[in-house]
Amino acid sequence: MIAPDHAPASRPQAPQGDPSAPLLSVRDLHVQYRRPGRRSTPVDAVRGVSLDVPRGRSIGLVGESGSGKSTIGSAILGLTPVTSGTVTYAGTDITHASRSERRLHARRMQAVFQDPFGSMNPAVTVGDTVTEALRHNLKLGKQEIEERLLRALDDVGMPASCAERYPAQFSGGQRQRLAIARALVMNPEFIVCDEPTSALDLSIQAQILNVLLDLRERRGLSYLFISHDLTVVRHLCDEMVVLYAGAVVERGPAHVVAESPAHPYTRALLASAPVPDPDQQRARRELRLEAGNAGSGAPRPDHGCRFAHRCPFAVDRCATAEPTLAPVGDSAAACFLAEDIRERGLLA
Amino acid sequence: MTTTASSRGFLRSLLSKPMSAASLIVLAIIVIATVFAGVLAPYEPDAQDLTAALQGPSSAHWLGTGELGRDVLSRMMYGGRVTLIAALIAGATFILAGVPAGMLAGYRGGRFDQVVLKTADLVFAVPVMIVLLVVLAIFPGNEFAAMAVFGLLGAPGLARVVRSATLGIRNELYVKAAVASGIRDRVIVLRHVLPRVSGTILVQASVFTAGAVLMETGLGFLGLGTQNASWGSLVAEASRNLGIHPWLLIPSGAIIITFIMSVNLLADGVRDTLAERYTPPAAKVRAPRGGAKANAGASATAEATPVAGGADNAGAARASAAADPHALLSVRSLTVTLPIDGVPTDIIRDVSFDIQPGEAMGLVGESGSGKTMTALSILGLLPAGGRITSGSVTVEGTDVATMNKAALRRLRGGRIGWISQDPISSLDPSFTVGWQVAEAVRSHRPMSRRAAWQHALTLLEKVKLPDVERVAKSYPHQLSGGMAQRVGIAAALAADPVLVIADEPTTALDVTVQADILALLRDLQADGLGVLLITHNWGVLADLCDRAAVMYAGQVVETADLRALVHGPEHPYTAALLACDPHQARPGAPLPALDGAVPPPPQWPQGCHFQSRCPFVKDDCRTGAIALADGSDSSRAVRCHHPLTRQEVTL
Amino acid sequence: MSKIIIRWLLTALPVLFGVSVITFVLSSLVPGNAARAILGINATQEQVDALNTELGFDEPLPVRYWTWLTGALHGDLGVSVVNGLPVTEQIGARIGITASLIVGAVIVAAVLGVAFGVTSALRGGWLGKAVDVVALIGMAIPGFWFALVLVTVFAVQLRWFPATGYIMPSESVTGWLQSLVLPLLALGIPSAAPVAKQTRDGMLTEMGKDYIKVLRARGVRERSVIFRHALRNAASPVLTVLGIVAVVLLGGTVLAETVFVIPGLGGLAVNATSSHDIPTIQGLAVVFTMIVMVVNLAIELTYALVNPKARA
Repeated sequence: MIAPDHAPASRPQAPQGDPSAPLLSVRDLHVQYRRPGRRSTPVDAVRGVSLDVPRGRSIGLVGESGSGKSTIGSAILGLTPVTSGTVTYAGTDITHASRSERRLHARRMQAVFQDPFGSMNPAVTVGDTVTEALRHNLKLGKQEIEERLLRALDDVGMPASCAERYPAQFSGGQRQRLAIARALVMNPEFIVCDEPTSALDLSIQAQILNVLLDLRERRGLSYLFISHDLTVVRHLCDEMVVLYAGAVVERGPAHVVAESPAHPYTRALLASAPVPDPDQQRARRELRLEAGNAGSGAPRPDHGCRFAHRCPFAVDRCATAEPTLAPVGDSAAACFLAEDIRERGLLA
Repeated sequence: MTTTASSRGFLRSLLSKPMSAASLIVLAIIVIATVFAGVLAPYEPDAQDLTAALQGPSSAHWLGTGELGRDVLSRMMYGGRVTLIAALIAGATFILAGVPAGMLAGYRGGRFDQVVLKTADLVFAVPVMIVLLVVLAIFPGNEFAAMAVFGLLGAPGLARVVRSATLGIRNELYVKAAVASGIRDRVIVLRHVLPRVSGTILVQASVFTAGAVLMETGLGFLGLGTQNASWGSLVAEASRNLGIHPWLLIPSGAIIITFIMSVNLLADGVRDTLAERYTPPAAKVRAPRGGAKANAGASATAEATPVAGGADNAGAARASAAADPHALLSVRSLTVTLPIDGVPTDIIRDVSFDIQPGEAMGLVGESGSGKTMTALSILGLLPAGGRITSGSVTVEGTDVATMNKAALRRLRGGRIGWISQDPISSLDPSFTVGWQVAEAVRSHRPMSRRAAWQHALTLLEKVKLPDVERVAKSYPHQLSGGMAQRVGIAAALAADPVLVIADEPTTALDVTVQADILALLRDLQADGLGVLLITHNWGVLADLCDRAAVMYAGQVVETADLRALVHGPEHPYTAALLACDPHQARPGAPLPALDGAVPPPPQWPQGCHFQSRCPFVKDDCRTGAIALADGSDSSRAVRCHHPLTRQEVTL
Repeated sequence: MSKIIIRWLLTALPVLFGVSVITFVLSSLVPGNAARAILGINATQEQVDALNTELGFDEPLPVRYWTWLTGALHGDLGVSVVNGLPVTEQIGARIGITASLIVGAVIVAAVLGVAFGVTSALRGGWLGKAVDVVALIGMAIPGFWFALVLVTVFAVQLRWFPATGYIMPSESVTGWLQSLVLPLLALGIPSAAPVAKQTRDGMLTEMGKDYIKVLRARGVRERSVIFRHALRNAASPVLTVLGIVAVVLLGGTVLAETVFVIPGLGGLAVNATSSHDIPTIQGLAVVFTMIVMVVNLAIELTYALVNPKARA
């Protein structure tokens, strides 16, 4: 049986323990996949990632495909088994929590996924989907459920009338709002957002980002925002964590990382992302040429710095030893030449 | 509550299909006639009338008589009991053994899953008929035992189907979302998995039961089943009397075929009804994207005759000008119609633009703006039913509408290359990529296979692939997205085209790879290749293009030199689309987002298509078509009654 | 290639073993016993015991199985309890006939099915609907009934082909072909229905894919787009269906051989079943399983030829 929930609808209670401690804390997380049916060596999807999400802050997790960013999100949500390391939520170790233990945390920790078309059962009404967790996990009264539903729909800018309709009747942007509402009805304090705007058009992405920003203000939410788009992360997040090949290569305040990267990979990412202004873009292009060809066809090394084969600054040492995260000013980077790279600035 | 409501809805939509309703009625009649044979049958099954043996239909014997003058109809009704009970036993065994195993294997995975899969693999190779003969050799005449074994032999197959359906649903995002919000497995299985798998189970079980009827009648025909009347023994009786009384074949075959067909039809109906409930709605909401629905008749547009412009493009001053004969590509007042829900609907309206030799021009817009459809209509590759209803597409001075099939084929790939969005799925998985590039070469130039292969290697080098010999011998699934896109570009360059159309060529790629592909396209353009780039990304546009046309809801709303467009948009939509790019915004501040969404083609309003979302809308925007007219200088054009000035934009 | 064969062996051997064990265990469950069943009610208990000893039925099951297995591995499947002939010999004399029926019927099903499937996918319209209807009826028709209809129409009424019987190719090649026409049609036509349906669905799916659009945009000839690209990619699931069809046909031959009075394995199986000839039916079960396995191997190899991913 789950514990009865008499919490008021307004705000979840503060957890026991140190209020200044981070809400979510990931320590030395490793996730290995074994490809089914083959006796191949396991794939290291995540290799020793640590990160904190302090209360009321938003952390962006950035990386390209294969960087392990979505795996980290799944591991935190308990959708992917963790090989080693710990995930702590509000002081409780939830690394290997059972479903019933997770149910208790689910009230505070929720998720929004990338594909707004796949994240709702097409045969169930929107109202039923949004309130599913409320009805099955919290056993609230009808009126309370109704109130929470209306408030959540209002918060994401959807009319109350939409509860009776089916997901098929909504556009991608509207469904993503509804997916956010589903997370909101639980009155969470923390939401894992896994590429929530990647499938959306630019104007719709802007709407969703505004909804997320607004909720952060009004409900005091914290986000772990997973994205491949540095610009979006920079816009929404306080801090940025850059992943490459399953490990953190750089972390720090979002504007510092985005403006003066200390890791060559972050620099390459920034230089590769084109900007709308043709003149600025030309300047970036030249920077990128100077930064070297990031997409060389050579295979990724399995010792030393994993980025060395693509890195224009690589020295002999990079091939033998793997650098660890070390402080560089306000941020930290896993590069032997971090200071130099930062010195160079983004627009050398 | 919800389940009963939805199952009622299910029955209603099932019965609304005439075939399903008819099958259900036929099955009901057969079952009632069989179950109540004792009351309904005109004779006892074994009642003999030696004076009337082997006779055709008559008023006394509706379906005639068989050996010993036994009434065929009565024997058919009584015989149905044997056959149907046997089928029911097989079906029940099939479900009871297969469903739990399959669901458990699919939902839990792990070792049990492996066992189920392996068993299914092994049982698949067992010759069913001979095993049943073994059973009957050992238990003579015990048809029910044989049928239970038949069900058991089928069960691993069902388990496999149920398992993969369950696994598929388990991996659906909405199940993940439910798991992430802490919903119990029991609830997930009952609410999300079972309703969706039940259709599959029902379909599999009915098809299997139909197979059991075939099997039972076969055994009956061989005389290995029970000695009582059954549908199979009726056929056996017919076969003994083929020479003298072939009529007997008709009723016995008809009842078996009718029954099985009804079961299969009903199963089809169930499957379709369920599919409707679970169809992702994307296709319903939007116009079909790209050529996804294209079929063999796709080149139909080649025959379409341009019609004089309708009311909508009457006033398009610039657009109605003659095509530019010196341009590589000149599109004039192009209007394209496609059936949506059976209604012919404009999906592109009055689109005009030119590309000069060596120029890189961008078509930028959100999904649903008609960018891809515009590009497809240039090559005459619209989806089935799509037609150019007015306007023209002129390539190097020749109107595409006047080209015959052969000329159109030379145009595609020969003069205009095509680079598509998803590089891997754009290559045929069954051929090496070198072969595919060589095929593109040979489609336009007669040369030997060896020469074409050599030329393909040169092309692969031209797109800067490393180790071309090895890459050429690879299959698409062995390449990364970036390499596959280079192969796609090489194939597009096979016949030295003057223009390439690149439809979102980097959308599926990581940013670092995107930058490499854009650099390659830029190099090719520098060598004199014209480029039409379709994109929704302002940055990609800025990286490659000199000029751009902004599309919204099937129309070009603004055309200008890119620098002028970005720094001083004149159409409110251009301004809004630029503003909601977070590049321009102060971090953490609300973005100046546009409310609402692009209206789908059937809902385009009178007047300006952007009116419902435009902050500057005035009364005259809601009436009459708006032409693409000169902007603030003659190098640009804008489709707006109240174009923005520079002051308004900076506000 | 060798990987496929090894994988195949890993399936084939357990299946053969399993089938033989199961038939053995089942036969030990015989109500009464086999000797009684053979000798009939009137035999004395001594006669029954003597036969039991002679047949080895008084030994424990594992011992009997071991004896049978070592024999089987040397090509000796035992002796029929009904006519005393070696099972291997009887099967050897008939297996060619059944195999040619199955191979012939699979070819008929493949040719008809693919031809109809492709045509209906490309033409759509009434032809597509016609293939749907034919496939629906085809899947509902009992093969033996269809065989009887063919016999009635073409042999009894029109006298184009012999109604029943089998002519060895050594006697007369034309006679052999004539005697095979009706059985092959009877087996092949209903089997073509699922092949046609799968071919049509597969072709429609492939024709809607991105790469087809891109091939057209490259100016590749339509003939090549359809046959070289779309059909080849649609082929894999068609082969799977053909594999299933072949297994089902094995059952179908039992019935067809009965209808057409062809001296193949099917007739042997039916006779063995009705006369409780356990050694014969056991041997047949193993041989039939081997035929299925060979068909599966052929399908696997063709599959690898068509689909480069399966080769890896």
